[in-house]
Amino acid sequence: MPTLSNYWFRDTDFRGETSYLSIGHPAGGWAWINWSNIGSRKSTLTWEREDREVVYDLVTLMNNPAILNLIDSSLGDADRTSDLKVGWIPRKHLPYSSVGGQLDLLLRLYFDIHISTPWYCSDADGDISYYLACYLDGSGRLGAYVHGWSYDYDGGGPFCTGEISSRLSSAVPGAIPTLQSSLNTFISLLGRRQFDMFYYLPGDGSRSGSGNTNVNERVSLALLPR
Amino acid sequence: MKDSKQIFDEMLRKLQDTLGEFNCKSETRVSEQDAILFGKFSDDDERYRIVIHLKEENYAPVTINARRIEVKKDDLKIAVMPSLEREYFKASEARCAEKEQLEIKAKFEKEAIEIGREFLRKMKG
Repeated sequence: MPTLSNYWFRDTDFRGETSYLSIGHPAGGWAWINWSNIGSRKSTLTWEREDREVVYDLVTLMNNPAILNLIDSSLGDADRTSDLKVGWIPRKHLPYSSVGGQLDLLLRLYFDIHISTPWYCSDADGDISYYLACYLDGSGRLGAYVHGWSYDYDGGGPFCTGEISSRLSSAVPGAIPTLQSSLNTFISLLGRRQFDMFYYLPGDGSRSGSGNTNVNERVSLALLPR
Repeated sequence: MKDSKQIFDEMLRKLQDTLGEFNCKSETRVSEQDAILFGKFSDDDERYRIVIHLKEENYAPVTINARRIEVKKDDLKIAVMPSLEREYFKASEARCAEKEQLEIKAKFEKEAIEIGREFLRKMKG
């Protein structure tokens, strides 16, 4: 039985806090969704999901010790202070310019960091992000590459921001070859299979019930295998 | 011509020598465009702290930075998915009966478990 999922987003362009409701319905028949009060929402998406859809919660997948160790060993002076978060981000909201469809969805893999400084500066807190672009090639095989990076922090004043930024500007892109190499390993294993399509779903991508999530921080990968 | 880092290194070394005459032990941190010297010392029961910050006059460090990565030409030709601007024709073409869909799903999920295990083995190896 196919499932209709309806998502309402707090921000424009399908971003931020998200309310969702999914309901199965007979193929070719109505799916009924009643929202008693959707509150302040600025964009919405509806998706009809096939029975062959296979869903993987990317936050659960990414927060395994092998990947966390890889990231932690690449951070230099920064300490990771949160789990990995994996959200989607429309191209038009990337923190750097990028040519292409403005509503292409990229994955933003990010985590919070803390940087300790000597006594004459305040410590710094912020986050590090990597942006991943995914695609299907002509034969239906999944591909992905690291598209960009960013960091953002507060603190480090009055004298340490120069040094902190200098180190982050080296360490954050410096970790990309390792990240891309892991991606390549995963993609090559998945390359045994062909897909008709893939898409992302807010939260854990559950096929029934309602709830709230934040699409900036948690999305799932949905695959339609052939 | 000396770059800023060389100038900072030289100047801080001389400052450290001078501070050493006051029994002030100091440390330095030098980056491309600014540098810090910091230390503590005491004299006659009074304790002192010293911080010297050197920087290029027009250098304003940022706390936000982001970059697009140089990509291979082949990657530039690829359409990023999913896109909320495009329709997907292939999915509807591939629609089949519920039973067949569930078989496809079960087969893939079985393979995916093996793929996941193999990935973790490779990551650990």
